[in-house]
Amino acid sequence: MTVHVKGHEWLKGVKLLSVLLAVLIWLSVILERPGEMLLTVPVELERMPPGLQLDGTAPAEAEVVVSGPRILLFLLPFHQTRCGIDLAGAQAGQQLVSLKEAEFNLDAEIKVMHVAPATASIVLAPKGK
Amino acid sequence: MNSFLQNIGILRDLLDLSLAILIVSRLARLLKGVLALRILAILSGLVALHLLARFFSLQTVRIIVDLILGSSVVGLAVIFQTDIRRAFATLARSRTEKDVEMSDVIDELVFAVAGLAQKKIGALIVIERAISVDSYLAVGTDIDAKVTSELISSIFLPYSPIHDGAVIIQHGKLTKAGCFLPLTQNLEVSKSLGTRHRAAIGLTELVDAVVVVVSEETGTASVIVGGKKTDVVDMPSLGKTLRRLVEPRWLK
Repeated sequence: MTVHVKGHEWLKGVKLLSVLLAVLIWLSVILERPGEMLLTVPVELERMPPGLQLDGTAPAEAEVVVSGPRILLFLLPFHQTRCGIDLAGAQAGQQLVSLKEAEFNLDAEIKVMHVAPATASIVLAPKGK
Repeated sequence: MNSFLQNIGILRDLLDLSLAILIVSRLARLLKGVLALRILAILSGLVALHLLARFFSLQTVRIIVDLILGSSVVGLAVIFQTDIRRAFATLARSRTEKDVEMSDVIDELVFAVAGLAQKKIGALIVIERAISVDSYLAVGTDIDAKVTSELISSIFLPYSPIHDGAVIIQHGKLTKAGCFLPLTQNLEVSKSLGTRHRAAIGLTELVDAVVVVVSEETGTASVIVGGKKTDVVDMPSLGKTLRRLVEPRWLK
């Protein structure tokens, strides 16, 4: 005598959803692992003191290595990341600015690891000269 | 050396994923039927929403989802406190003890069916498995007693006021008697089958229960699962069939 028990739809559903939930939990853990990414970002001069202007050229772009949770790095290439150099309080003459200390509009969880060039030489001159 | 370390990393991730699937599947098995589906679907949705909120840096949504996810652990523990308690109690018991308990219930059932079949007394015995049968039962008398052949036989004696309906066995206990079951609407079911068989087929079309029917006309027993009827050749084979169909966890 043989009795065949048919598999029930709900049981398959539970198995499938268990796998889905486990994969989603695993993904949320894996994607929180730290990763690194190289970005090329524009350099922008901010808060230029009144009466002063740029004399010569400043670096237009900088290469930045950032580190943070992988899930936050995926969309970073599509984000308008920039490197802002704050010139408030600067005086006429040559300024050596460390780009690592520049302002990057990045998520608080993303850290700047390395910037090339490391420093930017900016020459400021009084306007009209 | 580098590729070796990379392979180790991939293997570790695969092991991590496999173990996660195993743990979630095992935990899901503690939950009952359709409720498990709903809870798993809700949890999957919440984790997916958490991932999306994190991916698109939606801070407010992320905080709300994380709060719900965090509190859902406590919520689930409250909702399933009985199941969790039962699961821990089960862990503490030895397998031998479980098998002995299962054998007891099945043996009592087989003994009762053999007696009823010999005397041509009709009987309808429902053994609940993973899906609860409660919502498909009409009327009935609560009993909540240990499964014994004497009790089953006395319930189905023709002069018993509850002999007409079905006896329900849930978690290894005889919980109800005199219950009316939904009749099958399947037109292909043989017209020679009586109300007992139609009720057994009707219930098993809706849930995964195992139903044992004793015909009062022929004195034969049959096992009905998933709407399919199989006649029992002899009582030892009924015992074997029930042991194959009913896992020990459903009798606890």
